[in-house]
Amino acid sequence: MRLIYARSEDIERTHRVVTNDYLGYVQKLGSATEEYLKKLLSTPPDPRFSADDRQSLRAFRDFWRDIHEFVKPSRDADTLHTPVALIEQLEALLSRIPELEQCQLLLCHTPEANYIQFVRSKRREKAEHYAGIVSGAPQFPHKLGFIAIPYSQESCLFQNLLICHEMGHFAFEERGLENNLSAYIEAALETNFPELVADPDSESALSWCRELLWNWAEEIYCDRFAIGIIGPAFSFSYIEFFDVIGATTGSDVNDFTDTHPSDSCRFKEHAEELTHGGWWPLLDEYGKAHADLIRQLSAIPEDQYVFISDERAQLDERVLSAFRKDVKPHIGDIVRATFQGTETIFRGQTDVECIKAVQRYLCAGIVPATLVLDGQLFMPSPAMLVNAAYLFYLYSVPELIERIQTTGRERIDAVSEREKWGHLVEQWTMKALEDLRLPGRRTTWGS
Amino acid sequence: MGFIVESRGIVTSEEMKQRQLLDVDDPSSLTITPLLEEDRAYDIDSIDLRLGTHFLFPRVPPRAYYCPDEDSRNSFHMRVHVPLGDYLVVPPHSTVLGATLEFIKLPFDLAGEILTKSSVARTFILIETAPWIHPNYRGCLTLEIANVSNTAILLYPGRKIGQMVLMHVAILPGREEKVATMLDTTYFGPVYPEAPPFKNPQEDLFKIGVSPVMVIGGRQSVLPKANP
Repeated sequence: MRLIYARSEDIERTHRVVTNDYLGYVQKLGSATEEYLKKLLSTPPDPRFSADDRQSLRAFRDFWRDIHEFVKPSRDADTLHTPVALIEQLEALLSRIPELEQCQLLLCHTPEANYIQFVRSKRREKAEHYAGIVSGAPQFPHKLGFIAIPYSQESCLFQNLLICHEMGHFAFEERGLENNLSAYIEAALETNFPELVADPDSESALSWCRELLWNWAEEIYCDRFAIGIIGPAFSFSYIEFFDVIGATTGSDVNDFTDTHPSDSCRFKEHAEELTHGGWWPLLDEYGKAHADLIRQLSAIPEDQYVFISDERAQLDERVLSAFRKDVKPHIGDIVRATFQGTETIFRGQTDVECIKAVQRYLCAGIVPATLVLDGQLFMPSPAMLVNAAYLFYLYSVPELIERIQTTGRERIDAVSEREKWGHLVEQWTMKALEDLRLPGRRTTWGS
Repeated sequence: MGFIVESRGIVTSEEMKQRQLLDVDDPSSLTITPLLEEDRAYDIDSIDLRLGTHFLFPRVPPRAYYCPDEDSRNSFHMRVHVPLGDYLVVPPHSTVLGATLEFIKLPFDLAGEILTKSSVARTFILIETAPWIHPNYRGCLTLEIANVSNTAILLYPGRKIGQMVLMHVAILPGREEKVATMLDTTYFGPVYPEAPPFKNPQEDLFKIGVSPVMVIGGRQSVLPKANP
């Protein structure tokens, strides 16, 4: 245990405060546990309590196994190896949401090529149980989201927008939205599986259905939440990371898995959320190919969705149907109830001008943090900056190369050039996100 | 020769401010972002610049020498991030590459020079040995920071460290458009300090007719590249 918490590296100056706080919690927990164990060993054994003691030790081992999973990946995620400016801006956007004020995100690395949010409720329960055994154990940190990013994406900007989806899982848990969703899921079970609900012997089949509905519903919630946080940039990062380009004709585009809805279903929900945020005019003007892709996926009729389960083949179609008809239509309302009007929306012409300005700066090779319009200084909002920059990255890097390079057109199409200048666009955007946090005489665009 | 130049000499703070309000596509525009404490950032003929948050520390080299060649870019330095609010310790007689917090875009008709702020220089910290900034430059300026004192010194990112002086470049009338599009891509748009991108010495010297060249391990020649 001591090897987990009492590592001697000086992390105070290489990690974000939130990581230090969490590792400080682990350290205090470790010290308190050691004290407890010393006392336990120095007390003559009492056979009457030996079963309790053994249970406590089992609880310790279990809890530290959990902590073990986090400590090293958190240490790996120092400020050089995480997109700090992005995380700080996302925390600010998250904090606008009622009841999520001052929430923080603890980032760690994962060897998986995926983004993960670690469910805290069970850990919190265990921590409370633990604190009940060990006197002096610190409180489990509040309002802290645990998110793992692939170590290969450590300081990328655009791909890491997938973090917004994981923030959705965090918000869902932190806001206690299980209750809202649970009502719809239980109603769907009663409507679609009355024989299972009525039969106490079918509990395991019912649980299986319930779990699937939960999994799919929460994923849809998180996608919509992510778009509410950062707009269509989330859809772009999803398309890039999961290689959805060209997926409209793929055989698995309609396939649901035990844990996730199909891409066609997800993008149908993306499309609805983009409509709610008024983003389509922007997509149609600046991101036509992506707009078309999202439209094509969302236009796939729902009766083409497929879920095949070897586990309970007789229930798979029915549970999918229950999800489509009786659960999915309510998720948008839960998202609305979460944001209560604080989501990022597109404000038409005002934001078009901002997008244009950001892209002109990027095309000139300039960090778009201080924009000039008619002799006035402005700064873009973080969400508008990210969307403008992502669209520029996707569609206009050749324009930048053409403007900068002087050695011939053939270089515009070279992959290495695309990579080099695309990377610079990411860096300029990240620098702009950093600068937006600093004070200045600029006014926010459109304010 | 008869150059016709409307403005000469050092650029005043007034002109800097005016140029910062020009449209980004105007080749005469100047960008300095972020511009913090704007009221106190200017002197009559200069603007203060602050220390950025990223550094490249020289490593103890794996070999007993440092050779500026193609392999040197990623092997000689160690990246360090010091967030605002923290400090960096520069040991006595040590060097580190840093960058300005500000991202600069110079107009096509101005060149610049970055100088150590006099109060900083008096602590025997020097920030520049290659202080010249060409017209059209854009990026955070890389600073070659040297602590030439006998004591370790703390540097705080976000504090003022240098001052930039801008000068007019006399461009021949009619050449403005061409000069405005001349961009040097060697150090284009960096936001972090950058290590130099050297070629191998044998390639550099081959261009002036020197071959073979003695490198560690023996003499080496460069084979001329075949035309495609």
